[in-house]
Amino acid sequence: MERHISWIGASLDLSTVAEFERTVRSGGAASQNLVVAMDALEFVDSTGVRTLVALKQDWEASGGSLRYTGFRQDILEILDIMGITDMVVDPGEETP
Amino acid sequence: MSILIVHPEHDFRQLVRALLEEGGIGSVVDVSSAEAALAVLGAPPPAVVRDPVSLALIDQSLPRMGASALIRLARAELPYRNLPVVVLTEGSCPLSPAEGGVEGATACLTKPFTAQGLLASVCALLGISPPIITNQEHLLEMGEDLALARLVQQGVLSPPLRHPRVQIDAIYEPSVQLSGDMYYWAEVAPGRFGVMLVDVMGKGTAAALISMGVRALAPALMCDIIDPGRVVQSMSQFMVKPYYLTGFYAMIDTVDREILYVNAGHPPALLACQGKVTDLPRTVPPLGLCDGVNYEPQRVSYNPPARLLLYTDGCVERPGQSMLCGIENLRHGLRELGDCDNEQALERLMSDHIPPGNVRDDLCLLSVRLPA
Repeated sequence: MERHISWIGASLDLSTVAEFERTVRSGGAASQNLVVAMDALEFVDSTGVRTLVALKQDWEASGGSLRYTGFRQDILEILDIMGITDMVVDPGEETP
Repeated sequence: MSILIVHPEHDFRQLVRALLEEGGIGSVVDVSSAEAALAVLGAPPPAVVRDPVSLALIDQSLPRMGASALIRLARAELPYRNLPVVVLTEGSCPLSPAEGGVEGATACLTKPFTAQGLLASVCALLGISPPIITNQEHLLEMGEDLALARLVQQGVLSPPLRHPRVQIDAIYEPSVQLSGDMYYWAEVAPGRFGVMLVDVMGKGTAAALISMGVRALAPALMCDIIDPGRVVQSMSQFMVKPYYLTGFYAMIDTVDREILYVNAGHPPALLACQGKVTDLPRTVPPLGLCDGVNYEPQRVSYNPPARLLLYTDGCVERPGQSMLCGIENLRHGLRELGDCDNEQALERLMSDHIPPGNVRDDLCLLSVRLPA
C-alpha cells in the first residue's frame, strides 16, 4: 500500500532541503512505499538533487520504495544533465 | 550586545561565533563580504539585527571591497560613527596607514591568534571582562588545522600548463575552507594531455578528503591507462557510499586534434571552435551512484584555435536561478571570447558571465586553450 504526500515548496535548495527531508520522513517509515508529488517545484539546485537521491536510496536500503512524481520539464532537464533521471523519476513520468 | 564578523571563510566565522557567543560576549552576526556587512549596518531599516552592532571584526583580505573602505562606509552611518573595529591581518599590523596599517582600525590582531588574544582584544574595546576559556582554545586550533589543510589542498592543484599546442589555467574558489572541487592535468604521452575536473557532492572535510583521494589516484591512472573510459571506471571503484561525485575527464590528442571524454553527471563541458559552441554532455551518471555502467568515452574533433571550458556547478547556480540559465550564460560568454589567452578569458567570464554572490558552493572554472 502506498502513501501519498506533496511537497508544496517552490524551491529545493540549501535553504529548504532540511524541511523537505522532514516532510518526506514524516510521510512514512522508510520501510513503506511512499509517493511524493513534486508538482509545485520550480527550482532545484545540486543540493536539492543530492537530497532527492539520498532519500530514495535510504528508502530502498530499508526495503521500502520512494517515488517522486510531477516534475516540471525544466527540472527534468536538470536531472537529465546529471544522468540521474532514471534514479529519481517514476518510470511512468514523462522524460525530456 | 551584537558583534559583526566579516570574514570570507565560513569555518572561521563559525569558530569565532562559537567563541564569542559561548563566552557570553554577545550575539553575533556573521557575513562573508564587505557588501553584506554594509547591508547589516545600513539604514534605513529593515535592519538585519535587532541590536545595533557594538563592535566589528573585519578580515583585512576581503574580496572586492577592502577593510579600509568598509570601515569608512560603515562609519558614514550615524549610529556607527564611533564603531570599534578590530582588523584581522596577516603579518604585522601597524595601526597607522602610513606604516601600511588599515585606515580606521581601532585595533589589529595578527593571524594566527589565540582564543585568549581575540577575547582580550574584543573585551578591552567593549569595556568588559574577558570570560574564562574552557575548550574554545581547542576550537581555534582546529580552525588553524583547517586553514593548513586548505593550503595543502590548494597546493596539489596543477599549476598552469604552457605548451605550444595546449595552455591550461583555472580559477578555484572554495566556499568554505576545504573544497570538494579538484582538478588535475598532465601530458600523459607526447602530444596527449589528460584533463580532469571533479566535484564531490557535499562540502567541508568529508568532500575534501574524497577529492584529495581522487587527486592522489589521478596521476597513476591517467599515465598508465590511455583510455579515458577505463580511467573513470577505475576511479569509480574508489567511491564510498553515500558520497558520490560528478566529473569530467578528457584526453586531448593535439596530434590528431580530437578529444576523447567521459562526463560523469557533470554539467556539459563547452567546446568553442570556429565561432560555434558545442556541449560535451553527460555520458554516464555520477560516480558512486550506480553499478554496471558502461564508461565508453565519446569523441569530438576540433580545429585550432579552439577552447574547452570546464566548470563546476558553483559557476552556474545562483539562488532562484536555474542551472540551465547559468550554463547558457557561460555558452554566450565563451562564444564572445575569441582566441584570447586563458587569463583574459577566465577574468572576462568571471566578471561578465558568472554573477557574484554564490558563497554557498565551491567554484572552479578551467580554460583549455588549443591555439592555432
